[in-house]
Amino acid sequence: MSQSRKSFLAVVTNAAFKLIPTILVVGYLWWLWMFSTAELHADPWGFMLVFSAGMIISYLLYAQNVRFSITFLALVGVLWAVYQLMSSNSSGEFDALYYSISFLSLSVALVAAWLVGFGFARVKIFPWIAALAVLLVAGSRIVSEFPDASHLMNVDVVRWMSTSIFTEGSLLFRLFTTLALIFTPVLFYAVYIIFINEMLAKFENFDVRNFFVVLRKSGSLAAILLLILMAPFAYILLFGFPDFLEEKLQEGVANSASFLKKTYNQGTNQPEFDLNDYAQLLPEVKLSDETVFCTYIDNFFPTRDGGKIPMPLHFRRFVLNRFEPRTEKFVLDPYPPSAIPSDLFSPSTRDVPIGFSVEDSVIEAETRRFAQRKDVTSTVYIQTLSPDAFVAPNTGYSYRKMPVPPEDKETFHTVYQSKSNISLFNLPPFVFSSSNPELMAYREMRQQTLENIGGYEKLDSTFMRYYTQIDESDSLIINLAKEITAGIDNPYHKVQAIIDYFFATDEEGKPIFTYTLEPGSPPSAEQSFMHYFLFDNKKGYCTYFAGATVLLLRAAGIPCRMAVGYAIYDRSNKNTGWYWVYADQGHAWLEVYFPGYGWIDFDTTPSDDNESMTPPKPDATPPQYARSPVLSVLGEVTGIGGDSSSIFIRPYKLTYKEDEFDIDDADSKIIEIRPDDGTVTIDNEKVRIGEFEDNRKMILSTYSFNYDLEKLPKYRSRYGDILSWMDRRFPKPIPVDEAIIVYQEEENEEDEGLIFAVDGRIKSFSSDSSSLVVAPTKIEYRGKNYPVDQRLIPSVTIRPKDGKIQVDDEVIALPELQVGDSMLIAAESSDKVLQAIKPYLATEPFPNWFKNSFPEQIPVDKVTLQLPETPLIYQVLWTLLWIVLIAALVLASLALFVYLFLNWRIGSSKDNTRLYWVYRYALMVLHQFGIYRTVKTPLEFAKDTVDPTFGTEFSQFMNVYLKAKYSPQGLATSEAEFVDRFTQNFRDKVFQPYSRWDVIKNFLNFIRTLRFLFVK
Amino acid sequence: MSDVAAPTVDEITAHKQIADTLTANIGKIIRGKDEQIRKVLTCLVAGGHILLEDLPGLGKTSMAKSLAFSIAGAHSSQQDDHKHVEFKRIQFTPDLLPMDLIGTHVFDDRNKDFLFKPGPLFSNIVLADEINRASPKVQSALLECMAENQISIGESTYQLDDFFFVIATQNPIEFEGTYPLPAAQLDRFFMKMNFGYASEDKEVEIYNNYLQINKIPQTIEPVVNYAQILDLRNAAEKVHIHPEIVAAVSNIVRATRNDAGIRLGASTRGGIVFLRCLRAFALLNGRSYVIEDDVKGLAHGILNHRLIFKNPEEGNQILSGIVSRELQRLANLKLDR
Repeated sequence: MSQSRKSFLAVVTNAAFKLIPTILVVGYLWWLWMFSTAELHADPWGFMLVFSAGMIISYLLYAQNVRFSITFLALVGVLWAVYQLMSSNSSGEFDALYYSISFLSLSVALVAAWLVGFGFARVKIFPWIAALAVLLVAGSRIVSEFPDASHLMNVDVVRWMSTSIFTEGSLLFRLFTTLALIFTPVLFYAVYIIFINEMLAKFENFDVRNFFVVLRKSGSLAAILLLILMAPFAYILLFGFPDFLEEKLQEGVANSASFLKKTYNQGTNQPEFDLNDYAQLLPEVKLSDETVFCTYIDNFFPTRDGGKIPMPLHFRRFVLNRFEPRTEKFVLDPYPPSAIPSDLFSPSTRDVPIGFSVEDSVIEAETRRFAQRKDVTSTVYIQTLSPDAFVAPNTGYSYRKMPVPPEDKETFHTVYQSKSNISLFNLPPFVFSSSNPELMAYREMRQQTLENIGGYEKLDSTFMRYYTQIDESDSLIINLAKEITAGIDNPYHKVQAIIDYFFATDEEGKPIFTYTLEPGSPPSAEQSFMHYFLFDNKKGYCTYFAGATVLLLRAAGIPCRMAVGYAIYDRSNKNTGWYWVYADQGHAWLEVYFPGYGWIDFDTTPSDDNESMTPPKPDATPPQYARSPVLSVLGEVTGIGGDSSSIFIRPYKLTYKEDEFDIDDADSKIIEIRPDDGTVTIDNEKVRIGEFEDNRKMILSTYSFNYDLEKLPKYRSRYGDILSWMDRRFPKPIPVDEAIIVYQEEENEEDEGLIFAVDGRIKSFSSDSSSLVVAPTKIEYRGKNYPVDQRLIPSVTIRPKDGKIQVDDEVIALPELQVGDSMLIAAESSDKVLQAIKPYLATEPFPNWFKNSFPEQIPVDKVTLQLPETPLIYQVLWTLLWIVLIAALVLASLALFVYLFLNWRIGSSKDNTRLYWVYRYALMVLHQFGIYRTVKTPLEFAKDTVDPTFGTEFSQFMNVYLKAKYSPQGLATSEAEFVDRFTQNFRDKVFQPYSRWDVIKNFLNFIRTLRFLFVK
Repeated sequence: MSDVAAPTVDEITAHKQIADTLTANIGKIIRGKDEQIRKVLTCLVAGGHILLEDLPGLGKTSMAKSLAFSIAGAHSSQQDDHKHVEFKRIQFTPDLLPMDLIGTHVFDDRNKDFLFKPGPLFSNIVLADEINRASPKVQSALLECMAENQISIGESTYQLDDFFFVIATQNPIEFEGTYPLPAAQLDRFFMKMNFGYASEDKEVEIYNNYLQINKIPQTIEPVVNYAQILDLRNAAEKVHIHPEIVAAVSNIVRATRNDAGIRLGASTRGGIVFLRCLRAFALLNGRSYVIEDDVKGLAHGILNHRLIFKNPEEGNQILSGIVSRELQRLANLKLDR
């Protein structure tokens, strides 16, 4: 390669093929940056002009062997001088200041462009650097695009993955689009620039024909790259989505775009519906018509003539207290301030044994304070509702699992009865349009009562602030709220005004706001969905209406929140009090707080003309009314009866004729039960008694409807101890309808003994530094995770038995630990004290049970300080970094690999083949040291370049090699001997002039290796 | 594979010895031009003729002369004239007539018969100086002799010596009053060669040499003989050409026909001449087989004057491109036999 001046054509070609794409990609990245920050003052076209011009001039200049250092310093000097001049002359004058700043930024651009131009002109591997640089810039853009990605990642990755794939606005969608938008062109550029650089480097004498070769090749490369990028799209266009992807996609879309979360039971593969604990404004949702559950609500309006009007109530699943303006999501606040009482009852429904109930006395007490309340029982027959979901009218506080009536076992898998303390002012929508005089009178009474409540002055300020919290910068909504409630003082009137706003009609009597499942996206990315709904589109589904109402009410100073669950409509006159609930009844509404009366439901979603009143399919016949069993027992299995038809249990707890009894261990007597069908249900399978192993600790739940028990009188405490009384009066063994194993001790050997684990944040040390007070985030007990409500379990005190804590790899004593902000720890224990505690059986809320059962200081075996978890985006970047590193390592060691490979080939082959490998080896080593053969024939190369440089006998070898190659005769003995000697001699001589560092440096130059291997 | 028995190592060494001696001898006069001498010898051994194209005063004539003086004649006697092979120099001018070359019948008074008086072509080595100055008629007469190795005058045909070697020269600069050789004629020359200036130190050496000895030709004595040259010619026939080399020659020749920058490509005769020259060249370099370097060394000399380039300026570059592509192929070739 001659270092001499390149021909003009070569310079122009280089400039055209390298600089223009560089200008384009820089302009593109610049544009992206502008697009996202929108704070830049420099004129983009000016910047691009300066950058392009600077780069081209610098390139043309330095391609002509102009000295860099002097010219560059001169340029910087001139720019600096002009800037100094400008800024010194411009003190105080805004315009001049502005210009001097623009000048400075343009100068920076010019200097950068100058360096790039120089790089392209002089630095051989500059295109590689450029490619790497743009990739890095693009990578950093992606990171900055997701500054809050870590937050989103931490919420619940699994749920998020399953629900929000590919929906517009979802993180993944944005990630994909960003990757496509930013990375694709940049990757394109990186591949292109390296390719073109390597290609142009091949031409020694550049002429017009070469130019067209370059043009053709770069054109075909671009076409291939485009083809690769377009291939997936073309595939989808031609053949549609691949099946597996489509399933995933549709599931994702269905889940995110339907109001309900639909999953499938892993065992039975039946659908299970639940609601998300957030509600998002989406451009489109889909509804399905599967039956979720059917319910009997014991809530009627008694008329004066003795009749009763069924009053269906919305079944609430979650309350969404908080609005996130950025994602436009209403979310369940897992950690509200402690002053905010929780009235969301969430029992571990799946685990509650049949016949037993779980109640939250705190919620019950809280809600009973309010006036105009009554208790309502509703029985829910679950068809496809998730077994983890508890839905009940506001405010549910009790859950009792009932046996499914035998006739309906095919249809319903679970039945439960909930008790709610409801506000009498929760009225179903039809009441507001009813012309029934009694209902109208009641409506009137309700309105007057609420009007007379007065203001919120006496309310707790934290409570008030929390429930009226909105995005203060959203002046549009605040102004709208002001406008609507102008001149209104009474809170109820304000509420009414805002509700009326959504039901208002235009001059022609058509409603202004209408219901639709496909409101679409706002036309501009800057406009939020909420603003689009409120000010332009005026169309939406329940989340839009409820959400907008909540925001407006809060802006007007009314405490309120969103509720999600199921809207219950009375859609048939048959079967009074029975309601069938389909998946399309998933709903969002709002609750408004009135002092003294509590949370009252309001619904501002207009009815979807015909949809809501006609069920998707005719209601089925109601099931048999589920009765409570006369006796239910929960106890530990102690043995099996002699004839394998009965089981001995030691009861923990029992209910008899609606009365619940806790049995102390001391009083416990073993009772014998006999299931009717002689089986026990273990893991949803019926197993004959005697056919299961009973050597592990097992807890059994059983219930009975037996008439012999039914006819006995209710138990009175004067009868003495309940078990003794049962022993006397009950038949033996006690006949039961079903026996279910609800808990079995883990068989797993590895986890043996691990009873309890807690994750959390260190709050403080005890005074003697022997224990830690931890705010728990997760509690694991006997292999099950329990979500932790920090208001109910604010802290757990753990005492490491060895007084030590593990930090990274070392173990330090507790007092030595420096307590910093939010130090996360994980502790686990298999202590005997904890072993002795009875398993949690969901018969009371977990926090209550936990507080009652666990010791004050929980002894733990091991405490580990958790390092903060790396957010996914950084994990991705780390992975990328690793890939880059490994690639770099592979490239760096490429020369060595090739070297060793050739050596191995020399050793493993013989005769002419061996000569060939020696020849390749010699050329490779020389090439790696930057001694290129170029257009010389190997013999000329050996004679003219190699032998004079290194004093090797390469030309002699070449003669022998060429003889072996082209002559029909074999080698003479002397020649063969010479070859044997040659390799070692050659190696010694060639490596000799290079220092070890030189050798390493040259062997690291993988570009040479690549060129040796691939450029012929 | 050649049917002819391969020459032994000793034979090869002997042949190389001849070539080296000859080169060294001529080199005494033509300094620093070993490569060109070797190419001239290649043509000689291959049984062809050569066209030297260069400016005057660069040793073209000396070349021819010293070559002739280095080879002892077939009938060498003590007489000075026959000490070396016959050498004739013909200065081509526009008024030259064919008979000035080939000879003429003159009337013999004594025998009352026409007697053939042979022209200068009846010689072993003929230097046809400034060939493009003669009329086409004369040129074609010369070329016929070169092609046929015989001369026809009227009804009689006269055979030329087996050792008949024409060294033609032409001046590339002055075209005034010249008759440039047509492509078909140029094809008859195995090679066209530029002599080129001597390198700096060689030129100084030439001057020094001149100052010491003023009469150049006398310093040179024949070192090989007529028979040895014919031997060499026979030996060249036995040099092995690997099929891949043949393929390379064929590829190169074909490529000249398909190249966008070449108006007229090489003929098949060009290819055959190429192969003959390769053999001779390999032999002169002491090898009984042809290698890729031979191809590189000869390609330009053999092909350049057979091609008509669209832009003559680019000619060398285009040909280099074609040849080096083939050479790269050969260099990377792995031949297992």
